[in-house]
Amino acid sequence: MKNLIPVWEKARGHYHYPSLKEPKVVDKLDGGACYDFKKRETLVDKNFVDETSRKGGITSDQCLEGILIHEIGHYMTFPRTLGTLILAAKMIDDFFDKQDQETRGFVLQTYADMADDLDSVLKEQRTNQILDIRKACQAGLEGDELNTNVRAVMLAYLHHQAQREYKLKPELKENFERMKEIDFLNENVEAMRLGIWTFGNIIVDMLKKYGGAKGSCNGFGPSDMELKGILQNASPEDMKEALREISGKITKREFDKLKEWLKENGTKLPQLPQAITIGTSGGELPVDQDVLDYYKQLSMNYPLVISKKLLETESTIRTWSDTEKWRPCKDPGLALPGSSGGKILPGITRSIRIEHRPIKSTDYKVPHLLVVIDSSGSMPVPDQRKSYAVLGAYCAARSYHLHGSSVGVINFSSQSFYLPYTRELDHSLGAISAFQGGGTVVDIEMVRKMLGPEMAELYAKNPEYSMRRLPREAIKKELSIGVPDDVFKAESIDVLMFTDGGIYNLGEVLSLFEERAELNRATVVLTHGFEQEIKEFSEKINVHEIEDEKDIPNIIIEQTKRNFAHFAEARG
Amino acid sequence: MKQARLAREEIARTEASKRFGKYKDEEKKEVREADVKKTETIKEMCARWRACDTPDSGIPEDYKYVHRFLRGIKFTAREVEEFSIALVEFQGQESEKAGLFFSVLINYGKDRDYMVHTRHMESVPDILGFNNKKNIIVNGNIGHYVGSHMRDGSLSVRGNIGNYAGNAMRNGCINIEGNAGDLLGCELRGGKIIVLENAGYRVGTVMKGGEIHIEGDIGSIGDVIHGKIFHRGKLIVDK
Repeated sequence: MKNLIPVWEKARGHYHYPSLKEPKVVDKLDGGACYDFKKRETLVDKNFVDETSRKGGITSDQCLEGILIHEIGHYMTFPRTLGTLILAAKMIDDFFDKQDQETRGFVLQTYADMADDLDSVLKEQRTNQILDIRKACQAGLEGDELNTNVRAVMLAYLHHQAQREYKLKPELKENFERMKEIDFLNENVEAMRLGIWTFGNIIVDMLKKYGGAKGSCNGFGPSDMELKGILQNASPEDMKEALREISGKITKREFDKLKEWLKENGTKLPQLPQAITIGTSGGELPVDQDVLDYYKQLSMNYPLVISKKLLETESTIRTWSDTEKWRPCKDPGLALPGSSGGKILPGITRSIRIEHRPIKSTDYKVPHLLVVIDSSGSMPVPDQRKSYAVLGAYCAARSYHLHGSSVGVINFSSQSFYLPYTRELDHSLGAISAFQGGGTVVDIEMVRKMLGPEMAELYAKNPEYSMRRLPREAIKKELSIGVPDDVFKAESIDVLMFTDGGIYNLGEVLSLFEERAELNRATVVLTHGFEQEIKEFSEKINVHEIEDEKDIPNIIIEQTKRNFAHFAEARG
Repeated sequence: MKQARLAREEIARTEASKRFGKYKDEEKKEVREADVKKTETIKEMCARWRACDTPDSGIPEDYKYVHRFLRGIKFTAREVEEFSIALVEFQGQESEKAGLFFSVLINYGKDRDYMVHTRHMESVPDILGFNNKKNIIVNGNIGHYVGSHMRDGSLSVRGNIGNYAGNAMRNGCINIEGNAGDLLGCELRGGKIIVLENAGYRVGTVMKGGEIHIEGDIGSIGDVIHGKIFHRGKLIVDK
């Protein structure tokens, strides 16, 4: 194939030159061509190109261009990511588990082909190439009733979307009409689920009608969706990326089932870190690494931008403190030749000694964070259902941690426990996702103490928890070891409370948040139902509602908006 | 001199732009929207689901309420199946409401055979198959009180079932491919319940007729008044 590279460049040009390896020509390939997701390269069978162009009455360049456009489409349009491929395959397995492996594989392959080709026929610069290659492939299926009919329906659908005429046998029209209900290009997972179900039923019905004997699914076209191979060869990093993508699209329970399904299919899932226990005021808390990893991955989809605050900082200035003997290794600019008769004499000439002196100044900084999270019985159990409160708190904790801040946690239900401010992110996250499942009472005293200098008192009562891993002698010497000094300053902490409402001592909580609205940028985040009318107080308190996980980034946007509003008011 | 400099600049520019030679102005081509035929029935079902707020005054009363709510919709078995796939977006809401919705749709539908998918759902429907007379296949797990007051037909579950399965059932057959929860066949009056795996505690409590077949382990047998219980093909209770 002497024109392979120019045709490849032309095909790539239709997609605005994606960064892909040049295609490889192979002697024999099942299906004729494929996009290898593992090696990220396109493979083309020379004989397939020759035969298809001969039977279909098109030139080999036209044939090659159509094939390459189709294969690039798998990389660019559908499935595009390993996560989408896994999700589609799992849905097919759920709906068509009574069908054999071959049929399920065929449904996946043809669905991916249709989504890919549909995107191409809707763009006029690729329409003719795809229709030509599909017609040419159709010509090569003579004598195979099942294949011809299935492909005819697909071809008719593509012609309909391309606004071209296509003659379809009357007996196939019903299937064609059903296919028109499928939204192949909708990335929403529910639309994809409905689409796969409808599409799979069309294929299964046609298999029943035109003979679904074993082996009849072979030779339909490129087999680039060879799922088992892709899953078994995927690296743990690829799989981690795919699982992160999937976790944002489906429910927690479905995600857990999907992981089990992946294990059954021989996939190497990323290893979880070693189990940890964290010291809290309530005792040693074992952390469920599976839950922690799930919410951590999911939280990476929603980074929060935190507005900085003018805070007192400790910095240094360079000052002339004294003189010392000048040595050849020192900066000659600092030498004082006047001290040695105008000459620079090592050991005799004096030089300026520069010292860094600590000073108090103010600077814009990201404060530390206190997460107050509700884990009462009315909240979703984090290991069973996706909890927006836990997810929101994870997003906030991760974002503050990235800016060098420490994160403290108060987890409240009937009883409350706290985790002192720490830079160990996993410890904070573990305390956030711990579930108690009792009543809803906020320990106001604990919140107050965690927000100010009284925190030292709190730690003094429970030194073994706040100073974990330190010998008792060290704890006695320095109460604040392991905790940044500025955490003890009330203004250097932001407080975020995540709850679904229904708080027993609501009045106390509201007055505390009202009091701390400015100093600690106190914000209440209401999730999963928000039963109480906290919103009535929203004039004084920052209240934010999360009805969907996509609302999470708004938590901070709301804060920022308020900050800007205050700034604007001050400017008058 | 000036001319030489100009020529040199021209050469330099030509050489530099050679690499970008393949990038040309794109021709304007049409980009179409995909033509997707929307099914109005599913939209209508979803709208009524959202609007329906069951009074929570007992299963029979809630069932009547949902029936009144769904009056006037014409649908096929395929659309009920499609609705079960679309239902995922509402899964935070009550499981009872979902079960009653399906029960009403199936009981008042014109078709004989129905399928409900639950594998993708976070919380599965309860009370599905209430007053059932049709043939239902559930693809996935299902909740509590399934097949309650069933009158005829069949209910096949391709997964596990919750507590009180076949409660006060009069006739028909419930076939469970997975495990069953506690109080299986409670107040059973007739018909047959087959469990291919294990069953929980107090099987057949206050049972007044019918048959229960269990192929796996049994937690315990309840106080049977009248009826038969088979364990791995062997009759163990006959009253």
